[in-house]
Amino acid sequence: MTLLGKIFGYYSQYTGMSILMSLFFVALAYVALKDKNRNNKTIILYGTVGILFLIFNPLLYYVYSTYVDAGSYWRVFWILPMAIGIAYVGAELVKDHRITGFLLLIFALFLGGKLVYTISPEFKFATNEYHINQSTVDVADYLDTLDLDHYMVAVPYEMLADIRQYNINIRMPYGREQYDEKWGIRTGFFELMIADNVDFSLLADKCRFNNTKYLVINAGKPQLDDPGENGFTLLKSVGGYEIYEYMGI
Amino acid sequence: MAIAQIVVCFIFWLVLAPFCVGILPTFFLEKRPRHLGTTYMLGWVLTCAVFQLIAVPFIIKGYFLSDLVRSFMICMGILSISGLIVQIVDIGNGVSDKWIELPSLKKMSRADIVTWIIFGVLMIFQMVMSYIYMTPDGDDAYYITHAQISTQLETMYRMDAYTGIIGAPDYRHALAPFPMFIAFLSKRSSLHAAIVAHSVLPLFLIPLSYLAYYKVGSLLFEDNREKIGPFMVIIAAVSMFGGASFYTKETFFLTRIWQGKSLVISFMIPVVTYLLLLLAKHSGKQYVSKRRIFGIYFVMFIANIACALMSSLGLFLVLMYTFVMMVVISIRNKKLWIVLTGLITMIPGFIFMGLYVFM
Repeated sequence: MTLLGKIFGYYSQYTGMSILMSLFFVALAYVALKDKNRNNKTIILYGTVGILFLIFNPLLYYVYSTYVDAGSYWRVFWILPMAIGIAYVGAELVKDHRITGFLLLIFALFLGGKLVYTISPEFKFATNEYHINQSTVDVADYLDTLDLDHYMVAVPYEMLADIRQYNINIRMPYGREQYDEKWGIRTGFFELMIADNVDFSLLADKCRFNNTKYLVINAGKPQLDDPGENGFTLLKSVGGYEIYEYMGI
Repeated sequence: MAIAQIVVCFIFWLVLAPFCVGILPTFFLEKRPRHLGTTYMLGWVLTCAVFQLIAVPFIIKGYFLSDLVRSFMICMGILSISGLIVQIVDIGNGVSDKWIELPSLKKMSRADIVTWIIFGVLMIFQMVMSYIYMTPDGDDAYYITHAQISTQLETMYRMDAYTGIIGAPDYRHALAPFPMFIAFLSKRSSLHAAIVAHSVLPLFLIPLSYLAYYKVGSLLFEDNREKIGPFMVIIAAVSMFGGASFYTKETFFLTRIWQGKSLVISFMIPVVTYLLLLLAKHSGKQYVSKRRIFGIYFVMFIANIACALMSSLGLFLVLMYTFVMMVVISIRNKKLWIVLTGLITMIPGFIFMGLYVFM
């Protein structure tokens, strides 16, 4: 794929199925044809043209992906004054018919936009002021009663990003860096923990090697072998998770 | 700490202190009496810039968070008192006959008042949602954890946030130490860093961002102020319905405002847009006020440093944005000095970007 093709790919990734970017270009056309304010036109119209020329320039893409961060070029679209452009023209159009204008706007956004609070299934009403899953908080509170000074804790995938935000005393053999395969640093320990079944015999080797005395496992996850026969003791069930202690260290 | 003490702590550090400090940059920028909103907005910019200038050397030298907190408090104290002295002198010299200019409700029509009420409802809804609705993000595993590490253990960027293993200092990310600002607030309020970031900061940063948009609107509609209300309503609506993907500015604004890069795009880019609109306006006149132009560039200089606190990537984006806009203004107003002088204001940004690339 050419560099320009990649840039358009990031553009599609950024805009999704929303009409907002289209509304922005319509607003720019309005400013070009109707706006008489020189200073506003300079920033909103000509400034945007300059920014678009820069963003869709393969040279900038090359510099960005080489020296800044490959894979996140969609961030450069943040500098487009989209909301300001839409609101500037919108304010002009609704000035004499505000109620009708606002209702039309809400209707258009409802149909063609997406409410930010609905973009992820993980977004939900908070159960505590930390804004961390309560089950993670409960597990972390129990772990805090154990010997965390000398040993590490292995946790499941869904806790990786949150548990150390809440309690930094919990040290882990792997962390959130495991999330993205593109980072290329997945460990065998992590792979075992995210597998569909719990293999305590293989986990025992990993625990010994990584000085990990405690495992947090989703309760109800199928177990391939008996934890007791592999040196694990169930300490507590909390928040839908089981906390095991490895006796082989 | 009792709840009242915690509330007073946040109001002091996130409202009063920036307000007093903000009197200084408006000394060059505004006619008197000073506008309440401009003073507060620029106060935040200067506060962030001061924090950046203190934090980066402290982190690189391996000092503790308490050292940073103490030094920052002393600097803010000096700047706040200086700001108050400037204001008192202005009033004493008759330059200003009142402390601050407040918006006047008497000049507004019923339609204007209803429009502003609609905006207020939308903004308050978003603030309430930021408190009661959790929007988890993997990047917090880095930012919030570092903030809590520093609050609890005093060390700054000396530990791997993801695993808790002591390692080599992370100087690269330490160049944009906004988590240390969260740690500062956590230290002063005795609240956990996650609570400060997720539950408290959005209540201040969302209105702050809208204030920056309001200042942009006040320049766009300088001669038609009745359009500012509809402008703000549309900004708020677009922000709420802008979740086209995880990547949009609007998603970052309302679901991750406590992260530095989100604050850059939600607050600093509108601030820079405000400054650029001022520049376009004042440089286009036949008589160009040198004091006013100096004021704009001075605040732009500080804004670059403030952006460096929040995000290295965000700083890169702001530098690009500023440069393109200044070139356009320069061409439109036929004044080459606009972009040449603008490059000087970007020097702090270039320095921090250079450090980021070579560290």
